[in-house]
Amino acid sequence: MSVGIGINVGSCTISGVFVGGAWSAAARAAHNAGELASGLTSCLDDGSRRLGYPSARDMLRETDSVVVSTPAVGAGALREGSGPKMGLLVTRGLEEELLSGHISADGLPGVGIPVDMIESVDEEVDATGKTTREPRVDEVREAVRRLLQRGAETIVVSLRRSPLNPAHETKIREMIEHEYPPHYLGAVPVVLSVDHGTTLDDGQRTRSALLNAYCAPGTAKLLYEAEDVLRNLGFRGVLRVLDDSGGCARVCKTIPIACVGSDLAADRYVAAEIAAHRDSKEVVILDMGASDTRIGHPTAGEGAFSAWSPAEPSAPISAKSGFQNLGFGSHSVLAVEDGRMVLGPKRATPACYGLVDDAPTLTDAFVVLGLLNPDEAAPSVASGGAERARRAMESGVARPMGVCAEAAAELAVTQAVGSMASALREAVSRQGSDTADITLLALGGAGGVVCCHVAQELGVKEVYSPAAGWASGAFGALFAPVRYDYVAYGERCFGGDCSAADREWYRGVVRGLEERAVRGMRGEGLSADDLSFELELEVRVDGASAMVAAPLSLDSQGDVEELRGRCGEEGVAGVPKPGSRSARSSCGQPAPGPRASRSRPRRPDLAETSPGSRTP
Amino acid sequence: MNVTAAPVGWRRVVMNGVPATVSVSRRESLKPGDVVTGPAVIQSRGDTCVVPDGMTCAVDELFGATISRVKNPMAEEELDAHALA
Repeated sequence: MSVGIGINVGSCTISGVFVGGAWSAAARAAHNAGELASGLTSCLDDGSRRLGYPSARDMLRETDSVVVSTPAVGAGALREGSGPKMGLLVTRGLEEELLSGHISADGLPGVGIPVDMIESVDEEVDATGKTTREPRVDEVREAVRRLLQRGAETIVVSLRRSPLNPAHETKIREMIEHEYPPHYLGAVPVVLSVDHGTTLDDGQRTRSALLNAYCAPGTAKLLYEAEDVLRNLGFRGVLRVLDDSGGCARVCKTIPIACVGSDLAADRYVAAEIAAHRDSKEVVILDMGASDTRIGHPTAGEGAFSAWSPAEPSAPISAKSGFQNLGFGSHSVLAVEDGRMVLGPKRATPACYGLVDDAPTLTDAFVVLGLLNPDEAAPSVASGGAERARRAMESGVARPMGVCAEAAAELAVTQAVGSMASALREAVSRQGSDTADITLLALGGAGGVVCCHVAQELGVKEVYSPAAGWASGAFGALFAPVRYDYVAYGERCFGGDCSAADREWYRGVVRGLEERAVRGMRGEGLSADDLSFELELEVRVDGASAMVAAPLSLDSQGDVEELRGRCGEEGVAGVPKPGSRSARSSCGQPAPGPRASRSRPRRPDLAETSPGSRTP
Repeated sequence: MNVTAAPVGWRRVVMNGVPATVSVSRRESLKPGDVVTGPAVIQSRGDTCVVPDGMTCAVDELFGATISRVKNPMAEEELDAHALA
């Protein structure tokens, strides 16, 4: 029997969905930060028993594929500021541009970096990608030395126009590695902007590199640990990682920041399956987990990465992603400030678990009201959870507010439900719908506790709680098709009528991408017949740029006009001459569910400069 | 055929500000066609579903739970009367 496994690593639990033949099972286990192995092993053991295997080893021997969703580790680093201290090395003059637009001096999240952690070097690549000034070894060495002296733990190199010619960034990495021997530099990785973004927008590419560098250590540690656990248990199949586009790729191809929104992609697949099964017209998700509560339309918006905005530093998942993160979850701490109840942003292990923390959380409020049985919520904890929750509520919020524990708990739940209802009302209204017509899908460990109260407040007629809705992240991962991005650079101005030569140039670039994709996917065991292609162009007009979905060929002037129309839809409207800068082909298995469009960093190792490129 | 699922116990809760004694059901024990009438708490090893008073929970063939408002014929007649007026 061939087994498929989906795993979701949350902030405090690991859930798994195991499918073998006509059977499926779900399992979960608690895990503490930095101790993935024991939790993952428990989850696999439990899942294998439920699927009818004597042990995890027996099950994994027959497992072809494991897809992991790891949204929590990157999100946690961004939220808690627990990533490495970064130093940024840029082209001289670029730092002012970055600080005045794309990044701030506040440090992550924001996305920013303190001014004293930015150094610059003199180098230049012209608009055709030709080197006009090479970076000097002594200058690079001094700049890096200053960054390291100020405590940089990771160095991000982002040079102007580097996607047109990545040689300078590569050379700087070589210089650093030459000047600082590996035994000294071992803990100071060098990250290149071209490794995490191919856009010619220097600011956007720098932000991408900073975010990825920030999330990378935790994500890499978790994924390598997971792979070790699986291999040690005899797994010989392929481990892939779900990303926010809804696709999955091998660990070596994983973009850390794209993992942050992977659970949203999983939720989308689950919602689409349920909507199809129930023939529901409109399903809206309410996913309440320990750290976050997300609400949103499964078919709207983009991947979470593209929604990360310096204007909304506290909301990594904004309305643009189709989801809204309310900034609190069931493990958010309850506090009293100026006589008022405050929910989050601090998080703690619920007091009812009796582990470490004794601060009251929303989970403790559920327990005090009798809505949640602490022994069910965390079966491994000692008994007496209800009493611990009551004590925490009394000392933490009830007494300071001069009310009883039940009244304080009721207030906390009412406040949380009110926030969810208000955000949902806005989201549904934005879609031009009526809350009375939606089906509210309750996901996450705590979604079922609050969903009916939210529904009552909104006049929602129907709530759906799927079996094992707490494992939606793991379940959705099973739907993810293998998906890789391939990038080519070229530049051509489509002015007036598009000539046959222009169209042939376009087709040639796309054909090159397709050939590389077919070769790459052969390594995944997929033939050309298994693949589907999507193409995006970076279109730049008068300083504004956008990624635009494009046809694989421009067969007629009508196709060109249609492409111009799409440019307008993407915010580069009123422009008569779109010039294509880079083309990216996404290639993979056809997705079984909805696929979000995205405009996030491309996989750099696949980037190349098209020999046929020329400037407008 | 809808079957009202037998609870496995009872629990004191505060729901919508009102203390009440509600039934407790095990999610894993519910079968397609089962119905749980609120106020109720449906527990499983991974999550808990709270069904307030005035709502019912019906289990489908995928073991998913649809929770909806109990139809009140009297209220619907009143609405119809308003509409006619």
